[in-house]
Amino acid sequence: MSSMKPDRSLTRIVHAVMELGLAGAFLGAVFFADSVGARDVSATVRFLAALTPVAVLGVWLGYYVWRLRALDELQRSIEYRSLALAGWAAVLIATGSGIMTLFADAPALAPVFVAPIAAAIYAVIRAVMFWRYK
Amino acid sequence: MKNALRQLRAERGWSQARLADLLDVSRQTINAIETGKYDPSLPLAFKLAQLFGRRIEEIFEA
Repeated sequence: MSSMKPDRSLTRIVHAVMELGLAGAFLGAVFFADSVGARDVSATVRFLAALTPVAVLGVWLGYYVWRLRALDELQRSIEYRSLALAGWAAVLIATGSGIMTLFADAPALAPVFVAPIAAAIYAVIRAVMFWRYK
Repeated sequence: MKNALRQLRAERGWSQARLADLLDVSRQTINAIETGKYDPSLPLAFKLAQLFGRRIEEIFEA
């Protein structure tokens, strides 16, 4: 029975590679949308190009949900807590930045940076939690 | 939460990986339960009890 199950270490590596690939695809799509947007093209083409990174994010989300379902209860709990803390931290950072921009003329934080900030915080929290339960 | 998981596992000569495999969870989860860092869900506690042929309260104590 056990030999039929995929090795968890191998699965983890495959997931890490997939996520890196999706991150790379997202970055590539952002650069693609940016380069198309800089050209003299119709609004429709620009719109479609801008949809490319959004579509990659959609695939990424679907993959993440699928991966979550394959985790056991401790790993899933770690993921949920990391997501919750990272999401809340990102909201606080975005709000703090907005207040600084509003009242102190600080440079505005573009909304496009909120997700990478949240992702970085999420990665740190998750690493700490995995280390704690190692 | 204290538990007798490590002792029960040792009695059967199972490694953490073997027990994890039998319960379909990660070795990390078994280790976290054994060290008291993580309290398993009720379904997992029932699976453990069933696997070792004990009642849940014989394995876990508050």
